[in-house]
Amino acid sequence: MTSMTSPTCSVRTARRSVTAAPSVTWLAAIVCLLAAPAAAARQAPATSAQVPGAGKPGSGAVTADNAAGFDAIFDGKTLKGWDGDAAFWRVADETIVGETTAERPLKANTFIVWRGGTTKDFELKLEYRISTTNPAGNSGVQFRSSLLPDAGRWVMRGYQADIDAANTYTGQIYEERGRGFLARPGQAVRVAADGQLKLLASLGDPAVLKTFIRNRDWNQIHVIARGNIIVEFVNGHVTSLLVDDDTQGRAWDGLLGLQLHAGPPMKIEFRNILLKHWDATATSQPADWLTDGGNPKRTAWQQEERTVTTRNARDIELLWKITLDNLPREMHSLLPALVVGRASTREGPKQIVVVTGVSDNLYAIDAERGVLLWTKRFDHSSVGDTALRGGLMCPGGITATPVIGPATVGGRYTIYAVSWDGMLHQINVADGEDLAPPAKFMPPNGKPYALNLWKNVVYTHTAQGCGGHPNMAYAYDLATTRVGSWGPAGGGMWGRTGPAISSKGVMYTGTGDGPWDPERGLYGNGIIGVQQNPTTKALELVDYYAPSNAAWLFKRDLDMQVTPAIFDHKGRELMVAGGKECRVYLMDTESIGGDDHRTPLFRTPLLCNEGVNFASAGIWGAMASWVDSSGTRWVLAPFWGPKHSAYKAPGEHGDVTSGAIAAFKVEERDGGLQLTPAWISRDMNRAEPPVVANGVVFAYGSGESTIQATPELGLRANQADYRIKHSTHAVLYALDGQTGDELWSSGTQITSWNHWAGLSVANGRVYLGTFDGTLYCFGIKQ
Amino acid sequence: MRAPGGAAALVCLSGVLVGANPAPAQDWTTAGYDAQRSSWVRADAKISRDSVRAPGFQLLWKVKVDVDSTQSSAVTPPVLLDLVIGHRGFRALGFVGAPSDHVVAIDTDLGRVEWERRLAPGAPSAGGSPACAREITPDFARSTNAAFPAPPGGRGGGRAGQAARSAVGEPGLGAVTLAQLGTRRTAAPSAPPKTPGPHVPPRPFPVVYVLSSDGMLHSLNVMNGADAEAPVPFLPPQSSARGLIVVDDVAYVATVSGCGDAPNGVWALELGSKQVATWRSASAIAGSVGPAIGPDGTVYVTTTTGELVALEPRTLKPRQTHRAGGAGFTSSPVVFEHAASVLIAASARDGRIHLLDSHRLASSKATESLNSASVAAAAVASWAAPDGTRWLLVPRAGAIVAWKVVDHDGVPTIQPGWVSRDMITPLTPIVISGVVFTVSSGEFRAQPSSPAVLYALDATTGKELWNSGTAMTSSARGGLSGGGGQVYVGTNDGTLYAFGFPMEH
Repeated sequence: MTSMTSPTCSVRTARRSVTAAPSVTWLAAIVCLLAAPAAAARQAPATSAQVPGAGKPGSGAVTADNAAGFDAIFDGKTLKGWDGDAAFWRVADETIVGETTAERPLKANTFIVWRGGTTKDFELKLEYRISTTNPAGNSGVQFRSSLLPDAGRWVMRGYQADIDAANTYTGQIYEERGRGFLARPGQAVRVAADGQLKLLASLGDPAVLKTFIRNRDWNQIHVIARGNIIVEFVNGHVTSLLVDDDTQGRAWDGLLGLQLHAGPPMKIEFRNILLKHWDATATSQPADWLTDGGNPKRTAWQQEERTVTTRNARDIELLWKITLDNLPREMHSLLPALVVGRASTREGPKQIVVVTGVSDNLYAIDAERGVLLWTKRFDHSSVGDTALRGGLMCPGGITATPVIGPATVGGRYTIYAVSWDGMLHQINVADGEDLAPPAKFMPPNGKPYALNLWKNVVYTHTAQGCGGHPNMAYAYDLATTRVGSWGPAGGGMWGRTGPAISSKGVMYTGTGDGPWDPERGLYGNGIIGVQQNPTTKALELVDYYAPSNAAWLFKRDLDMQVTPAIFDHKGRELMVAGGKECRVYLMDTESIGGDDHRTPLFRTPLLCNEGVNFASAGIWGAMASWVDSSGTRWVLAPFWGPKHSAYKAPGEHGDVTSGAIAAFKVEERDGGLQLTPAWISRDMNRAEPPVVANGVVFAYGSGESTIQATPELGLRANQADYRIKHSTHAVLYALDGQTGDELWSSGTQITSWNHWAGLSVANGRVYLGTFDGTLYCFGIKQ
Repeated sequence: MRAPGGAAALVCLSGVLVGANPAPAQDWTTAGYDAQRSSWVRADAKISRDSVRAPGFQLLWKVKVDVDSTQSSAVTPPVLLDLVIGHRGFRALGFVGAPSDHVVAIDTDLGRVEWERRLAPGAPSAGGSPACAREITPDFARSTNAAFPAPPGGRGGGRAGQAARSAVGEPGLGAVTLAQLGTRRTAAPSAPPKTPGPHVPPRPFPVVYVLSSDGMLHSLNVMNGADAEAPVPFLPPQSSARGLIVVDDVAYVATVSGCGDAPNGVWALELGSKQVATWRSASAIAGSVGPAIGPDGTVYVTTTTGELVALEPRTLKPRQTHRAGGAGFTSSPVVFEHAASVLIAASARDGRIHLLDSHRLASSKATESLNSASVAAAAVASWAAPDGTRWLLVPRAGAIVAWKVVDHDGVPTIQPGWVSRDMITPLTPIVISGVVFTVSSGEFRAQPSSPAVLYALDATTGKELWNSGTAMTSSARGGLSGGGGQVYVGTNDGTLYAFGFPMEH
């Protein structure tokens, strides 16, 4: 019999722990608290008296207790609010009945889905009775789940509180059509980031736990889910506990459903189904935003957000703003902020916002109070002439958003930054001190784009030939200090959030300003994938794609200059990209252009840029992608200029003249994948790359003048002083991710505009910097 | 977005300074392509004998440019601008003139009208004959160079870069690009060539020049057709102008009497000082493409009474005159290099082609060659094959006749080359990368006209490579132009056709 691992695991201790400690210690406390009854149960089999609200054994009259705050989501009479196959589900005797017979069998598991909402952080209590002479009879309760329409109308995937007639699996946490067995009866299990299962503790002998379950009688299942921790009880006994650290596999939200299993005839009944939603903010682990674009794949999706919701987004307000002493260079000023949710500092744990100023400055700001913690100014004396000579496209200074390495030792985070002189710096988030001497990386005065960090290698790419240097993709191997490179690549690679990196470590980016001629080693106006050679550390080309009209794109300067977004979709790793022509491309990272390198999975029609302009029109910046609670994969593209007159979406929000966000769903059709138009946002003054958090799409119009030529001035208009004079101010929007409806806007609160900036979101706060050196923090007041 | 200093910017800048940085040789800038009126586009990235012969060359688009066009006043072949970066984007433009001072700029990739306007809206309509109406269709020109365009050096140019490759630096020493920093030199932009004549402040955008029926010379912003500066008086109103050309800050054009008050002669307008010089001819100016400019700036013009006159640039003072006598000239002169000489050729009414040495014009004994059928060729095309053979192409009544220029005892002369298939009143051909393009105009002298047909011929053999079949539905009179992989024909119903190799948009 496995003993509990918690050292002082008395009920009294556990209660003290529960009241005193948040988050991590809550886990230990809940384990202690819940282990106590189980430990007691080891001495004696369960009796009905020990089941909360239970009647005499076998009486069937198990009533729910402690119903405060719960909603009954089954009315006992009808299937209103429930969606299932009427051939197998019905209401009888105030129960939901699922039944198969010899005459009416099931070939695959089917589910009845609750359509009244989703389960995010919640508590669920229900009673079930499984009646079958077949010991293989099986059922379960799905939560935080999604539908799989390709597999059938009522087929679900996700967490399941398992039920079986033999009570071998009853009480375990299973993942239907996913990772399978997670926490078996009697187990407290952690799923690690790499998907491995780690046993944390034993919650009791499975054989003993089994004795608490009444065969062919009513039993109560009770599930508590908070963040990545799920606890299951059966008849008042904790039977399994799951800590899900698998960021790729876990779910934060999803549908609730009841299972009817395929196989020999069986009958399952459910009653007294009670649900309570729980506010997740009290004990949630703070989220991070450690890299531009949110993560190495650049989906711009903050998956850990639980504060801002579509319901409370209207309550967003300006929490603070701070003006920093950075001097702009040309039109560059502040780069996108990075957020460390909890960094250990001398003054205790802090949530820290790191902002880069183009004039070789780093700033750390207390996210709670909006006050400056430290400033770091890099020494660029080796750069020499620092006057503005490169023009608007080559401002000098720092142009690459740094990247922050995840915690290694006790909450320590490392900022990796490339300064004006091309050196790589490693800086402690807590205090701004160097963690390593600056290291040679790339030539000075260039124009690298946002850094990406993957498996101890820092990736970036450069553009515009700034400093007179060729445009290259770079990879700094932190372990060996070798720098791999690939290029040159035409006029460069200038996706706003730098390169996107796949799960296999392939770095993807769009290219522009060059012809497409792979036979001659020319890869302009396409997408390239390069990968570090594990032995030599060189960057090698492994895949490439160019649209079939690449020659046209080159002729009209319609670069593929958008950072792609990479995501998983039904077992495949896909990628979306765009460009100034104003199309979105869907690709499979297995082979992004197919055998001929010219065939993506799907290419949209033109969303905008009907006039075929190289400036002030097209998709600019970066893509975004997220999955909603029903399992639908979304793709978002920001575009400038008027919408194309022929492009339509089911949801539109007025005329678009200056820019908007276009939203698509990834769907299957005719045996292939497509991007189905879903909605177009309201008009925005130069819509910039959006970020997504908890079903809310944050987007902004930069207010920047993007004019590069006028009839009177020709290309002389493309000067900083002219464009600055004609820029206005940025506006931040919160949109409903499902519909594009505007939930909130910053109105006139932001008084300046920005160029080559970006959004960051973490822990209920959204950050945006402007040309005048001000960092704004909007969010829900907590 | 391309960084400043790249090739695209250079192309744009080449049109920025008025007259100081003439258009690159590859653009069709005036009637007859270049200052010498050769009608020869030296190199093209897409057009060749092999590519035109193979499937693919086809009608790309057609645009009804003007609804008022008639057989007597067709749209002009476009003057071309291969690349300009404007407020609407990167554009390849063609500038077309149509009756009643109608000027149109067309996106030659998409066949879309970029802008259009009517010049001189208050000017009276052309009176008198259809010939006058035709003559005062607006004439376009872009600034060009008196020097011979560069010889072909390969298939097109383009902005091909260096091949990408993989590399890795030494530990601790950064990227290889850092290691190579000391050996890389940033190319400094070259200073623009010196401009003779008074200094004119540079414009931030290219312009195209056009004459309106009221005799004013307009400088139009190529991006939107607006006047870049106030129109300048150049000719008397309602003049019949031919062959507007702008070289070294001077605009030249020929006029023929009988329309308006302009006499026969050549006109020169200094763009800086706005001063106008005139040379008057006793007889009509011959040919359709106006005066030809030699590499030293000398202005050459032919008359219908058989004179070939060399005029000083700017002042138009006569330098030399060759009197051919006989039937008189029908074509404008064409100037070309041959061996170490600069020669001039022109076609005469009796079918002879006169070949003259520009340096000994007055005392030259013209080399003639009898063209068996009488012909009224309005212009002569000239090109040089890669092996150095110089060709002259002349339209006659029912075909194109090609002649070689050869040396006989040290004296250049002409010998027959080839005769094309039959055509109906062919227009002066153009040559692109070894391919002759010519139009069977469909115009009969005594019969109703028929639709025009564009032919592509092997320039060294005359063999037909391709034809446009029934693509065009009207006869043509205005002529051809070409470049950037495309050939343009304007028909008498006001339609502009573009032929070439399709590019997916």
